[in-house]
Amino acid sequence: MKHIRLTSIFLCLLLIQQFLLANSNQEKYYKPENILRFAEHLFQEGDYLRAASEFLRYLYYSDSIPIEEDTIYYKIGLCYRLGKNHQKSISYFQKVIADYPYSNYLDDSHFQIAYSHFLSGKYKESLSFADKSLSLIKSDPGRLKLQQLTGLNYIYQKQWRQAVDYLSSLENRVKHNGLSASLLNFAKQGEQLPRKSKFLAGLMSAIIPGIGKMYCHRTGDGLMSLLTIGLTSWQAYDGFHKKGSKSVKGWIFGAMTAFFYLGNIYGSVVTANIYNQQIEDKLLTEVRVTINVSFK
Amino acid sequence: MLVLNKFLLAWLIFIWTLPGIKHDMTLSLGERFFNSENYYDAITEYKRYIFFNSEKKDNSISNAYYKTGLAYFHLGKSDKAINELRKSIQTANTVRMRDERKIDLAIVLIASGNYGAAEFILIKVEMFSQLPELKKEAAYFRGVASLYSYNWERADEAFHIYFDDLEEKSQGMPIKLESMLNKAQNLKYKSPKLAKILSTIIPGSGQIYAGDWRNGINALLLNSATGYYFVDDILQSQYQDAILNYLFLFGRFYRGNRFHAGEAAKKYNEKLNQNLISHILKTLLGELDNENNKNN
Repeated sequence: MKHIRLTSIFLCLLLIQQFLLANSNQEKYYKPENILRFAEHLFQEGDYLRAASEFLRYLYYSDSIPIEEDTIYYKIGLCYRLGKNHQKSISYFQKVIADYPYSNYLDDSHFQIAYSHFLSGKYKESLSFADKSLSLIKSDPGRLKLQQLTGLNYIYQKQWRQAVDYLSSLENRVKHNGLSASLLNFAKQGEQLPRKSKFLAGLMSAIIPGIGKMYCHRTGDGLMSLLTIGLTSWQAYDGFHKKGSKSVKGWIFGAMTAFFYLGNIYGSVVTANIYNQQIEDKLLTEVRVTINVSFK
Repeated sequence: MLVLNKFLLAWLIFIWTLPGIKHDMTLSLGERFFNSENYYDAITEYKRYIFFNSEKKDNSISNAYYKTGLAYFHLGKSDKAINELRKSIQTANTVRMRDERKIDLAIVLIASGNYGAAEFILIKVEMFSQLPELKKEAAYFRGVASLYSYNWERADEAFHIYFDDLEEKSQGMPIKLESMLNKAQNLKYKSPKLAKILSTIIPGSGQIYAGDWRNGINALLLNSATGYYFVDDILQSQYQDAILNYLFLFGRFYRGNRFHAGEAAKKYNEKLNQNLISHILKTLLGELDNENNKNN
């Protein structure tokens, strides 16, 4: 009898242990601090969108409002920005600014909103937000970053003169910062790029077909235009010379010559435009490498 | 008391068999998401399990990596799938599991078009695995990888290993499959080089040689017409006309005809290979079904 009782107690204890184990498992995974640890791990791993969901889960599972709630919202914004969901990232940074007026992340949130606009290619929005935020930023490093971003926005809009003026107008301390100096240097380079004049390219091709393209370093295209227009115009001349104004050949080749001639002028203007874009884009690639290292 | 004891024992066994308690909670959740094709959330749960149980020495971590890999594969992220499957191999505890995972990794590599890497892994399994059934499986998939890289000889050799090693009741490689693979090894491809040479001598003949009659005749007619005018202009000493004709008509058609002859030959060869692969795979699947039916 005693043996049976002991077995019963043992079985009951085993059963209780099973339930406790199940509960402890659940606790292990869904305890708020563990969710936070997991979210941080995902962030470190670069799985940003999944990390954002876990940060949100952490806020949801927390019994009371966590002291560092603004930090979490800031991190969610950061996750979305790094996960290239800029619209969502902006909304979370805006939440930090609106709901936590005394947050340590206020300055950073201002910068991140302007930077998210910049990354999504909305340079004008980024510029106007940075301009509005500058007076609200308290810390010097925060102001510096926003000023650099403003300069960068001018550069990306290819407004080289404004970029040079703006970056030169900064206080000496800011101007001599490494990144600011690089940006100023890029802006100056952008301003002095050896651009080709569209007007000159068109005019040159109007005088001698194809020369405008050669001026834009497209020698092959230029020679082809010269040969084509030369041959068609010669044929037109030949037709009119032999049969006068009644020459069908003359009219056909004359029309072709006019078409090719106008196309050659238009093509030269376009070539100059493409050339300018290419050298500007090459410079912007260098800028992109620099900011990828400096802006995180 | 004895009845109670029996009841408790029965209940305990029942409780142990419940998935939520027997298995880990997050792992079960991952499985449920995976089975309902919610791969994104399944990955989150498997990652959570791995993060909180990294110290575990059993095969559950390897399994979690494996399922994460499969989930990524279903989401079309082959690179991530391959990465997770590699981790699954590294964390597997048993030789069998490690070799099975290697074969799975090779299958994912084949599916993502990385045939060379798949063959390399499968050869390693064939050489070093101590498990005959896995060696055989590896040979089978190596055959499939060789098929896709059009290496018929290697596919033949791999399928021979697979079928010759089957149980005694099997009679080696099926005759139908063997004859198809022999046929593949003696396939008569069209040479793109020869097609180009033929079209250089007689425009359109390269396309006809590659089985593209329509385009061949089209090329022959166009080149004959424009070529006739070109030669006629030269014979009549109308050199400007001849140059114009060459630049805008004959030259273009002639160059295009040579290029398309080479492309037609390549297209013919590709079609030939694809048709044969689909026939071989169909036969192979049929044979496997027969084999399974015999075993059952």
